[in-house]
Amino acid sequence: MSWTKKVLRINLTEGTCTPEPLNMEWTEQFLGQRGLATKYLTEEVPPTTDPLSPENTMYMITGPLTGTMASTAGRYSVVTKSPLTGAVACSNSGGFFGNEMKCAGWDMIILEGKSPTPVYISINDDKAEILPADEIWGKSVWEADEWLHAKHQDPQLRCAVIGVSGEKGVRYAAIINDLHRAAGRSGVGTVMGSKNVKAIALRGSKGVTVNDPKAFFEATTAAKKILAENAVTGEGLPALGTQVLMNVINEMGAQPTHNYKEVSFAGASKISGEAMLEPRESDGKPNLTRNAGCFACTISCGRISTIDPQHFSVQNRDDLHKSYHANSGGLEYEAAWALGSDTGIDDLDALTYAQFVCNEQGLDPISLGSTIAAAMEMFEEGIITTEDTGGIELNFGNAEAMIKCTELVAIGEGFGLELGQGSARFCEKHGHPELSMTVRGQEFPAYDPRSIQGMGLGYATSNRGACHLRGYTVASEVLGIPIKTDPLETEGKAGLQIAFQNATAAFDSAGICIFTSFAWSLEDVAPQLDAAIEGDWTPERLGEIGERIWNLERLYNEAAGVGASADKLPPRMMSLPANTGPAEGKVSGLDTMLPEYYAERGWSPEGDVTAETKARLGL
Amino acid sequence: MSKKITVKLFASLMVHLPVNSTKSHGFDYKIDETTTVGFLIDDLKLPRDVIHIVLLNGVYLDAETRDAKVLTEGDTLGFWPPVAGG
Ligand code: SF4
Repeated sequence: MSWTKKVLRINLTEGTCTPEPLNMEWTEQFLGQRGLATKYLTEEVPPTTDPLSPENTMYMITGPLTGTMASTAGRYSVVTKSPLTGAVACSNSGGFFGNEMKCAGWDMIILEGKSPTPVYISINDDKAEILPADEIWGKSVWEADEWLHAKHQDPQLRCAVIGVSGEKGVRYAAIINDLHRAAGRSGVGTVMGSKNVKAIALRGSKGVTVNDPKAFFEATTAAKKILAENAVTGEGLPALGTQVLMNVINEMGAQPTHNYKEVSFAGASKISGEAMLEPRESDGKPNLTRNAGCFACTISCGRISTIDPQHFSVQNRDDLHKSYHANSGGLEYEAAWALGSDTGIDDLDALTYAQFVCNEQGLDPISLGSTIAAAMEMFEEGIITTEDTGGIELNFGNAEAMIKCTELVAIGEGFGLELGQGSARFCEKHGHPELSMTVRGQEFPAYDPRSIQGMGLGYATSNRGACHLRGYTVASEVLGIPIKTDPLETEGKAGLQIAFQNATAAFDSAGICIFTSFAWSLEDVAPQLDAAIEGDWTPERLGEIGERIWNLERLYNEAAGVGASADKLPPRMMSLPANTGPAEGKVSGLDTMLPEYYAERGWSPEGDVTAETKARLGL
Repeated sequence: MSKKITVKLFASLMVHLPVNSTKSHGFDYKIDETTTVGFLIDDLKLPRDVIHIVLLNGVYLDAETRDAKVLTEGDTLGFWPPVAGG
């Protein structure tokens, strides 16, 4: 149990919704969510498929713990071939959508083909329908969500929606569920838009059962106790959220600034988690209203914030203050860094506004901010001018310009649609590909590879392109979790990355949030899974599954042409030394770490998965 | 002339900031040739059981050796409780 063992396959070309059994054999090898859907992708979508063609398929999938009482068990993932990277995409979201999907009786929803006209998918337990979406096509996520709730007369309806950006082909469009939780990275919303699907609105009333309720109750209770007693998951994350990192990373000289030219930002403390608590002059309220949690989460790291009503960004946006969207989710550290530090902007309200637009129109704020930062550098270097930008003075530190760009990308218009192609395509188009801070075409997150060496290796090898959530060695290199390692050292980082990458793949496939891993190891996850589903689930088996998933993703990327040849960092990381702080004078030691990484993975010196490794992992 | 360093307190440790501290969490602290990190922690009555990350000019000081570390003019010393994010 815990699995529903049912898949809803929706063929948009044919207009059919067909239930089919979940491949239980594959769950033994790949668990659920990230691992299982990647297996489906590799079997059903040839690696050379054009990501925006009807031949690409999108998998919305839960994990075995999704919908149960395990802490953070509201997660689902969206797996597809990414239009940003051409590699395997897997974006994970919380909120209340994944658990509702499970309660409706589905482990996975598959969208294949392409609808001839705009549609949305309505699911009420067993009943699934493809319905016209003409009235919400061209509307924001928030407007569409409201319309769907009114139409179905159901306040409990859970909706995953794309904004106008996804309809218009912005390559880093996100899928937003519950108004502000995002399957954010790699353009999964763009794929949904390419299929002419605006939303999936669902309601489930079936509940989720587990294999051994008594053992499950004991295992989940013990695991929740660990989260509650841990200083990070029990106190730090609820109090300041991910934004607590802003000052830590900046103080240690690892905060990428001005499109990764520098490693610290003078304005960091003004846009930090601590700054979100300071009362503002206009109305005496702080930016942060409260923390928030996803389904069943006992950590509650989420931020709910407001924008200063006097701030210039909302002067023409009465709707943002008068409707229920007066507050929304954010800021998170990644968004605050990309839209702020990377662009040189220290205006907290401007960043909050840009984050809200990302929620409202379904955008990945990391790719957005990073692309704007690259464009700003090109503007300052005279590579692009106001003629290219449509009149926008795109200098570093210009909050009005950042907001204008954000609004244009959000609706995929003019210069916005060009920025919406992502930093790699934008820089390439203007003749300076070296200014794009990307790996596999996906924009870097908020940790400088010159100052935190393990993260450079992580970006270069990440299967979905540069990413912090595939192997978060920051935990060890900066925060001392589970043990402290030296961020400037390259030795041992190959093994560290591999351990994080494998464990993360297992966490991501179980139906829980990766933030539990600040307190839990696979030792804590295994008993919960073992009680929830059939079979013997040990930490060792989960570790092996994580490794299998990593290699499966790699094999798909190899066949898609973005394997070892794409394990590279931009030239800036390899030749422009960090200019301040403890890393001053250092570049990335990727050249040293990568061969070690290949060897420890059991790959060839060229970085290809070997026949022996495949055989060992049963691939 | 007395020598000084900048002390910065973050996250839940902000409650230990003196009233005159600036927005960027920092305040000046006078030192002499022998002032150590351990002395400073006790002098400011910072809760040892809460302190987790200590950065001296951005470099992490590990728990075993940090108390004996002698401070020098112009140093920046930052303190955090256990924190994480992503
Ligand atoms: S830790 Fe944060 S992101 Fe994860 S499930 Fe809880 S509230 Fe959601």
